[in-house]
This record gives sequence, C-alpha cells and structure tokens, in this order.
Amino acid sequence: MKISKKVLALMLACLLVFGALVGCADNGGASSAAGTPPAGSVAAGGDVDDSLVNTELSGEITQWVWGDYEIRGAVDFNKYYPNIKVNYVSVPSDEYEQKILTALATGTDLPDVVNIESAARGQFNNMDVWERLDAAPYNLDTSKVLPIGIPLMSNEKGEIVCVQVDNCVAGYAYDRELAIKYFGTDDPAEMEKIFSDLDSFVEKSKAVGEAGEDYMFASVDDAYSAVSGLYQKDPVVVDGKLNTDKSVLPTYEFIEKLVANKAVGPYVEWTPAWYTSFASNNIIFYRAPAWFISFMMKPNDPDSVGKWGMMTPPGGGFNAGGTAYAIPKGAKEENKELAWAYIQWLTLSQEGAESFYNAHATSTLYAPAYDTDLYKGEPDPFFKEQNVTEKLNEIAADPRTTASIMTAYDFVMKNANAQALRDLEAGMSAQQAYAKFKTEVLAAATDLSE
Amino acid sequence: MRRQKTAPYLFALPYFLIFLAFSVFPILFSGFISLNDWKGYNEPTFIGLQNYIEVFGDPRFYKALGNTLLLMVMIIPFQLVLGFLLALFLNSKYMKLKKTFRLLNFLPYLTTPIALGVIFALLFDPAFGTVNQVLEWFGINAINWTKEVWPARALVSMVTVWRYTGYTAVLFMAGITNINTDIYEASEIDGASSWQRTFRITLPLLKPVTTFVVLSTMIGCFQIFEEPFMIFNVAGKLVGGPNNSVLTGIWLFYDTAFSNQFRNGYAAAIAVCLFAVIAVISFVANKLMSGKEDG
Repeated sequence: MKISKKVLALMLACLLVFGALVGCADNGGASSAAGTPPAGSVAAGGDVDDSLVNTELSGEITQWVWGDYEIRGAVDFNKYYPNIKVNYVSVPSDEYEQKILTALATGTDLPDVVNIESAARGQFNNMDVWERLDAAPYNLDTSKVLPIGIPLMSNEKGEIVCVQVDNCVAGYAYDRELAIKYFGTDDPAEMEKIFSDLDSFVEKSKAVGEAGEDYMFASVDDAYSAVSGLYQKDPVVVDGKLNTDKSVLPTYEFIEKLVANKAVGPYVEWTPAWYTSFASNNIIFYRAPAWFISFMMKPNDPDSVGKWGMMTPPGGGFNAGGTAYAIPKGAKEENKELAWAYIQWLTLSQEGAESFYNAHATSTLYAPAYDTDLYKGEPDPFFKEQNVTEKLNEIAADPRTTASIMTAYDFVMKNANAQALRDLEAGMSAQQAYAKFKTEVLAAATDLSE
Repeated sequence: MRRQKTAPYLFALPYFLIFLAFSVFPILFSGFISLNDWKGYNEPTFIGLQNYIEVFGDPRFYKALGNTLLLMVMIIPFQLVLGFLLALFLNSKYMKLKKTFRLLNFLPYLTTPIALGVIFALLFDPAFGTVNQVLEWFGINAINWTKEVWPARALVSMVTVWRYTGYTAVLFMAGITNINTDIYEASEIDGASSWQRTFRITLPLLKPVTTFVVLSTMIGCFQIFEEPFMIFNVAGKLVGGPNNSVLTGIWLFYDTAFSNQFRNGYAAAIAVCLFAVIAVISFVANKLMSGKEDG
C-alpha cells in the first residue's frame, strides 16, 4: 500500500511536469490559435477556366491570420490551385507582431505567409527577414501594381519585400445633412469645389465651431489622419536625419487652427466613445478608405440610410492602412513557391481581385483589374446611392494621390505624435508641439539626428 | 531507507525543473543578451556594457523609475488600509453572507487586463465617461483622466488599488484567522472595546503579514504594467500615458523590446537594472521592517 501511494505520487509529479511543459509549448507556438480558430482550409469548387487551373503545384502552406478576413478574401484560391492546401492559423491581431518576432528570435517555425499590417510595415519591411519579391525566383512585375502600392511594399533600399493586398486609398466621407447645414450643398462635386484646399477647411470650420453643436472632425487624431497623408510626400527620415518640417509641422498648424476654431470633437480615436461618433450626427468629416467604410462606419452607424457622401480630399488622396503579405526567408524552402503562388494569385491576378472584391467590396492593387468592369461598383444606399467604389478608384487614379514612404522609425514617430496631438488638443501651439515631437523622437531613436 | 532519502528530491523535482526552465534560464539569458546588440531577428553582436551605459544616461529610464516610485506611494497606503479594513469587515462575527462577500471581494483580482482597459477607459473617458458625469452632478468640474499627468497617475493608482485590494484582504484574513481567539476572549473579559482589540491585538499580531504585504505590494508596484498599458492602449494608444506620466519600468522594457525598435539587448539591460533596483529596495525595506519588529 505504501509503495502504491509513492508510485501514485510520482505519477502525479510526472503529470504535473508534463502538463506544464505541454502548456508552455502551446503558449509558445502560434499554432495554439488562442480564441476561436478559423476553418482549417479552403475547399475547392465552382466552375473556372481550365487554362487557369494549376494542378502541378501541390503541398500545404500555413498563414497566420487575424480572423476570417484573409480566408474569405481568398475563398476561390483552391478553384485555381486545387492541390495547395492553405492552413489558416488564427493569431490575435494585438499579439501578431510579437509572435512573429518571438518566432524569429527563437528560430521556431514561421508561417509560410505572414501578414504585415500598415502600422508595423515600416519596421517589418526593413528587418531583412523577408524574401525579396521583385528578384528571382519571384520576379514580381511592378507594372501590374498600382503605383501607389510600390512604396507600401518596399524597404528603404527600394526592394519589394511584401505585397499589399487591399487598396486603401482614402477619400473624405462627409455627413450630408451637416454639409447642407454649414456649406449649403451635399453634392460631392460641389463639396470638392468648396474644399479645394486645406485653408478652406480652416475657413469653413469657423462657422461650425461658432454654432457649438457639431465638429469638422471627431478628434485631433481624426484631423491628423485626414491631413497628414496629404502633406507627407517625402520620406520622414533622410540620411539618418528627421525630415518632417514639411509634413508633420504643417499638419500640426492645420490642427492648431481647427482647435482654435473649436471645430474638433472630443472623441479620441479608437476609444469606445469614438466608435459611437459615427451615429452621433455631429461629425462632418472622416477620412475613409474602403476598409474604414466596411469595418467602422457601417457597423457603428447601422441605421443610417443616405446619410453619407464621399469626396476627393483637396490635393488628391493618400493611403490609409492596409495589409500586406510576405514570405519569411526562414520559411520552409519547399513551401516558398507555393506561398508565392498563393500571394500572386490573390494580389496579382484578375481572379484574385474578383475573389477579394466579392468578399470585402475592396479592390486589390492589381492594376489591370481597373481596366475591366470588375470595379464598376454600384449605388450604395448608405451613401445616398453614390457609387463609392467608383469614387475611391477615381481618387486612386488621381495622379496627385500618393502613399507615404514607410520607415523603421514609424512606431517611434507614432508614439511621439500621439502625445503631440493631446498637447494640440489642450491648446499648445503647433510650433511647441512640433518641437516636443522632435525631442521625443530623437530621445527614443538615438541613431537619428535633427 | 534509500527510497525515503530520494523521495523528497523526486517530489521537489517538478518544481525545480520548471523553475530552472522558466525562471533561472530566462534570467541568465537576459543577462547574456543585455551585453549584446540584438533585435531578435538578427545575429547578436557583443557590445560589452554599452547597453548599461546607455540605460544610465537614458532620461526615459529615470522617468519610468520615478513614475514607479510615485505610483508606489500612491498605491501602497490605500491598498494596505483598505485591505485591512475589508479583512476586518469580512471576518466580523456580525457579518452575514460572509462567503458571498468574500467572493465578491476577490472578483476584481480575476478581471482580465483587456476587460479592465476597456471598462476603465469607458468609465473615465474625459468627455463621455460616467465618472465625470457623476462628478458634474455634484458640481465638480470634469477631470481629464486620460489626458493630463496627475489625473492619469490617480487613475492608474485607483485601478490598481481596486484590482489588488481584495487579494491584500485575503492575506490579512489569513493572518487574522491565525490569531488565537483566546486572546480576544481574554480582552473581552477585561473590558476591551472593539477598537482597542483591533489596535492593541489584531494590528500588532499581524505585523509579519503586514511586512509580507508591504514587500510583495512594493515588488508588485515595480512590476506595474497591465493596468496603465491596457487603459492607455484603449484610450488613445498613448505610450506611457500623457507626457509619459505612467510610463513604468516594465512598460519601458516592453516598448523597447516589442513595439519601439525591437532593441532586445537594450531592453534586457533595462530589465536587469530594474531587477537590481527592486532587489536593493526590497532588501532595505525588509531590513527596516524586520528591525522595527525586532525592536
């Protein structure tokens, strides 16, 4: 009896160790897919042009995904590549970059396809851990990508290391009722004439502020998001020096004037209160790429019909957000060709563009698709029957529309900017806020100089 | 006989294996990478004490350390007093539904950080939060909880106290339960009031528990991260809070390693320095408190 007790205790002890180790292995690897795991793989089916079907490539690849966005976007992939199975592993978006870094640091298995979200793109693109896609064996044809996409996919050497999936060119969504109230019209063409430059925003904001009921933008953050892309035409870092005098400073000056006119709302961007601002009927403008309409405006203002309009920002559009796919250098060699087939199909083919557009009402950056009827769009009741797809693509085709060049210092600047915006909101001058911004950036990025 | 000698080691083995793998190895590895320039994805380059020299010249490190000490001062007294009062309340013989209240008391400790961030960002939103609305009912001006330095510190302190007071109360309750009831009975016979029993019997006899609570809360304060991080991640994604007012040591470490420039080597040096500071302060505090106890 004594022996059996000891054996039992020993077994329990072993079980404890085993349990702990198994638990740790699960936590360490992204394959644990905490939360709700998505479907395992996409099934083939449906009629397709046989000449486009590739049965030679076969195998299994893995992509870490945030949810079902990626899966739904590529739902037709297996119709064209029936022998490539894509295993989607769910990784929470707020842990995604950290898990990639952990996998890189520890040398554990990386997925074959990695998502790089726009906020992390500047740093991730410059990490020298991704396959170069515009060189052999991938040979990405840049002429097939909308020009605005190239800076979003490149590292500081100009090498393409990822492919952005979605076209995130932003227009200005505006509240039609408030537009009539303050500007006398809700017609997009008329609005574009009234707001032909940013000075006109400042001028018109006086009446909005004086009324004391409504705001031009929901917050200083929204004002920044709406304007920074218009000013940011040059890289923010050149030869190790900050180059923000012509981008960040004028953006702050614009915000300073709006704050002085009391035309900026108190909804801090991405806070729970901010999500309610869409239905509050007191905010006139939001900068709005396609994803913003699908994931922010419509879900948070579900009862509105005909409330919104879409116009071109003064000076053309700009990129706002987006997700890119990359192939890690450390991925399994035999899977890289399959991963590239998957990425290429989704982002650089008409079929991928159709699949993605049908799932998300968002265009990819595949240029030839814009010469077809795919993106002709249709009247949207949410926008008073305005064809928003057509409008956004018109903005994307505007030669003035640009995308900011991403740098490894984007996170540092984002952090310093968040504080500067709070200071501007509290009444600090643009010059002071900008000086503080630079000090913060230089303190955090010690290898930069003024 | 031989089995009897080896059995204790076998029983202790699981703990030590886990301790070696998940405590000793990471500590040693942190020490190693703190001597390297390493971003996690590149090859480490040995740079000697360069990271430490940079830490000692980094104003953000001192700011984080100062914030942590400030938060400690703003948290420990409240957590200690409230925890003690709660423990008295939950141990009182006049108390009904003791088990229910004990459970409720512990619930904040079980709140997940994400829920905590969302709930408190909502409650304390300067423009739309319930707390400011209530303050305005009483004629008090709205407070910029998430946008100004001292309100931000007060908010983090309140949330931390709210979250951990229940845990502190449990420790005090355990201590109170261990006090011999004969002493209370004797004091009652001698005519001691409940105040006298609390201050002359309970408090002095809880000294070892109090020492432990103070030390563990101090160490906990040095590790504050989740509360400010989650609140300010929801409220405007402001790293370190307004003007870095709630940038704590661990937040600085996290920001340096994972969201700023992935400087793992430098972040490890920050962690080692924090470890040294915590160790010294804990040692001194322990000495002071033990000394008083001995005296």
